[in-house]
Amino acid sequence: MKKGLIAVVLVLSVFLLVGCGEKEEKLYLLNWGEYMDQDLVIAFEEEYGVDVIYTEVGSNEEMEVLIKAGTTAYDIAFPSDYMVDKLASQGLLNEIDYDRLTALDDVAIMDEVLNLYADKDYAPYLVPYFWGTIGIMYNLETVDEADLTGWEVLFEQTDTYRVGMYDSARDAVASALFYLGYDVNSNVTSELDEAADALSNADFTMFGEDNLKTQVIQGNLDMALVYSGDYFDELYAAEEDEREANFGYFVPETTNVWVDTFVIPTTSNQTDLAYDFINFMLDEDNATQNADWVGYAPVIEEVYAMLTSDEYGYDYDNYNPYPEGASREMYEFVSDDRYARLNDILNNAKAN
Amino acid sequence: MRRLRIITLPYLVWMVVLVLVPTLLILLLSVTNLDIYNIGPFSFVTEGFEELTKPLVITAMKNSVRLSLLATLICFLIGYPTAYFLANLKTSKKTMLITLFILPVWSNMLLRIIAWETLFFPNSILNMFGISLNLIGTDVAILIGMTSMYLPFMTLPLYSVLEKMDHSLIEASKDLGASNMQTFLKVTLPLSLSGVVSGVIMTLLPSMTAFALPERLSGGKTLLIGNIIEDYFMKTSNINGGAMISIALMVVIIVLFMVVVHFDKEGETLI
Amino acid sequence: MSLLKKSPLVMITSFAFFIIYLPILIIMLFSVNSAEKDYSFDSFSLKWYVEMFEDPQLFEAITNTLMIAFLSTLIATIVGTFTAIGIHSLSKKNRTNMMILNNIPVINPDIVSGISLMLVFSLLPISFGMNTMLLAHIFFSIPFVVLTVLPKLKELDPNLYDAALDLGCSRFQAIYKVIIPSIKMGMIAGALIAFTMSIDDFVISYFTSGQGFQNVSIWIYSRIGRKSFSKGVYAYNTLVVFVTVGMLLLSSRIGKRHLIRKEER
Repeated sequence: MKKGLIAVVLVLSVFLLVGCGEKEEKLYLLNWGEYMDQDLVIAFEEEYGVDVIYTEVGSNEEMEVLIKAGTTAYDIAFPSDYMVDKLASQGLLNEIDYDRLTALDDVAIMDEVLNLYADKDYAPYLVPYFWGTIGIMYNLETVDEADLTGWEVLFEQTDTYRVGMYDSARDAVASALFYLGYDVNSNVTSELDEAADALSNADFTMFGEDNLKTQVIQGNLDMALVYSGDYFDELYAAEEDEREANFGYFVPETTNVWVDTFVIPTTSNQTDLAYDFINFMLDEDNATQNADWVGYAPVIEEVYAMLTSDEYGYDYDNYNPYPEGASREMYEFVSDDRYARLNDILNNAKAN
Repeated sequence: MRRLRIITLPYLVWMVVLVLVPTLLILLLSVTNLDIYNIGPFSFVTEGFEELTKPLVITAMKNSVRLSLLATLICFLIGYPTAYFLANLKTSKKTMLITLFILPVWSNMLLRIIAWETLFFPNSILNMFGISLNLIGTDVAILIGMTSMYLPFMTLPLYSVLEKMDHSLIEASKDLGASNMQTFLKVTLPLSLSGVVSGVIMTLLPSMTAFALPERLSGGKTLLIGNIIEDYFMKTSNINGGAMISIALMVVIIVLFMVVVHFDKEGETLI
Repeated sequence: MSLLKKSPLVMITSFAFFIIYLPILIIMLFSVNSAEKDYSFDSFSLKWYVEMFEDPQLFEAITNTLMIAFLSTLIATIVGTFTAIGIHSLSKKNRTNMMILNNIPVINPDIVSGISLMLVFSLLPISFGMNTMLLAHIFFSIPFVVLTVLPKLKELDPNLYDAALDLGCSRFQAIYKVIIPSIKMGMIAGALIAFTMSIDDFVISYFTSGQGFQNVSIWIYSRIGRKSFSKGVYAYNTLVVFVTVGMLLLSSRIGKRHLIRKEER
């Protein structure tokens, strides 16, 4: 019995020692899943002799909750445009000191990206990371491409097709507002009511997130609302396995364009290291490697040119989120009440 | 033995800190506009109660109650005969069999839910056995999932009471001319009531508050109250509204628990 | 009972085993499937069993899960046993009140417990991560230990403890030489439940973790449907099943030998 107790105490103290033994500096990242080449993270750790602690989340809102809760002192987070707006307006972000972004001496952010947010209040709080669109991923074997005329295919053909809707209030309602021809940031009650009806009346087969793309490929869904990167992910995977892609990506005339960003929350204790990290990721070679790994469209001119060149061959249809002449709209935060309303709309659509 | 009372003191402090304080905090959040992220002055508001009258919340509460009661009933109908059969085995293997029955709870529940999810789609690994199900998004899918997850919790307490039961009572009943059915209804079932109650509680509670299971197996289409609470806390950051719904859920469960206390005053029924 | 009458019971019992074991068998099938996707079976392969050790985040999640499960079970069993002994010695009224307090975590919805703990921990000067998750697991495990140990204490002769004291035992000796051996089975049952609850927990861990510390459930939840969902986790789960079934078979064999030896004497 006594021996047992001693063993227990020993085991416990070993665990406690392990817990206190690490003295390395730590950089806390709050990112989306599969949104950064982990080899680059490891390279950064080695170069700077630090430990990068990486937390993955599935939505902008979850990011907000984690930053607000303050249970972890995140140094860098990667929210989308409208969430930067919300976080900045709550005083949760530090302004970015662009003088410290020395990497930008060698590369330039694309004008198309800069123009998207240049006139917004939250512009000083972010450095762009990737950008993309939302669209419809469909199964080539079961969907007649002639039916792909616009957003209406998601809402009017749920009897013919098994349609998956994205389980994210902002994106689901946006697709309905586009379908009805309203402003994507509309806060007009009657317009939102119509969007709610459109979502409720459509008979979606399922609501999902990252699993939608898989179900389209498996043939359990005919089409689904997805992010551009969902499609490209699967496209690259198919190329890698040398199988023919049985799916396509359709972008209706008007759609949402989004920018995901680097931001530094006010909780950050390692701001110097955070700038080092952002500089590291903006470096041309690293950014190229990262964009090649992640699959979304890069925001750096040189990197974009490199990836769409013959060497990398990323010149796919719809790889460019904002081709000349296209109609694109950005989300705006608007208000908490509006977001609560969007969430109700999505939940009601699910319940019907 | 009285001197041992002192041992409960640390536990009392621990429970007060970890149970009473947060419960009071949630109660406070539900009836005030206190901002949990920036604690400061606050005032009492009644908006929280409006959350409870929202059609969506009511639908979710109804779904929770309906599906969890059905799942509990199914678990009982399968679990009782199973426990009865295992408890009455004469072989020394019965302990092993009941343990084997409990073992699946050691493997990850989320993973088991995902396994069911893949089976419920028309194109699944079952196709290689010539089977194709199309259950995703139906109540049946949720009920199968809940039964699979919580059946061991129903069966174990039933097994423990049935195993300890005095068999001479059953024989006496039969000697006195009662049929098998009468013996079961008048002797076995009443004697195993405490096991039934704890089995019901152990199944009803997790199925009523589940949120990952309905989310996966309903294709995101059936909302249970757990999904609503998660939404409030994790998506819309409406902490105060979420606190109100949590309190309502706790009240429902406490009422349920009172029924149990009615059967067993010492509150040991749960195991 | 004749076999004929038994057969419906046999059928229901078989069905019960089938419905709880089917997902586990499917997971086993996935774990030896060489294909990346789960909807078709390509060929038999053990590569995911290697992958399980090679995916650093998954491997870390596995070690975290096991470490938290072992530590929380150990601590909860010790604390829970002493607490049960204390509760047993209370007057009836205090005992009932204490049991109500004890049962709150058991009946509280996980999601409410998780959020409650998150709120309390964020008011305390501790950083989120392993410490908070461990505390949370100890927190929800103790009540189960109390619940399993208490009935065993009731079966105990109340005079035993006093007798031990009279015979010159110290209080501590009296507890671990007289009381503990008689409530051993309750402690083991409590420890098993605590371990089960801990190794499988998702909701409470999700709310009480931080600084990137994750267990297998959190790892799974943040990766469902993604490329980074390594199928090594199926291999892990299959190994857990084999190890537990193996331990069960072993213990029943030891138990049997024990029995035979007793009979020989």
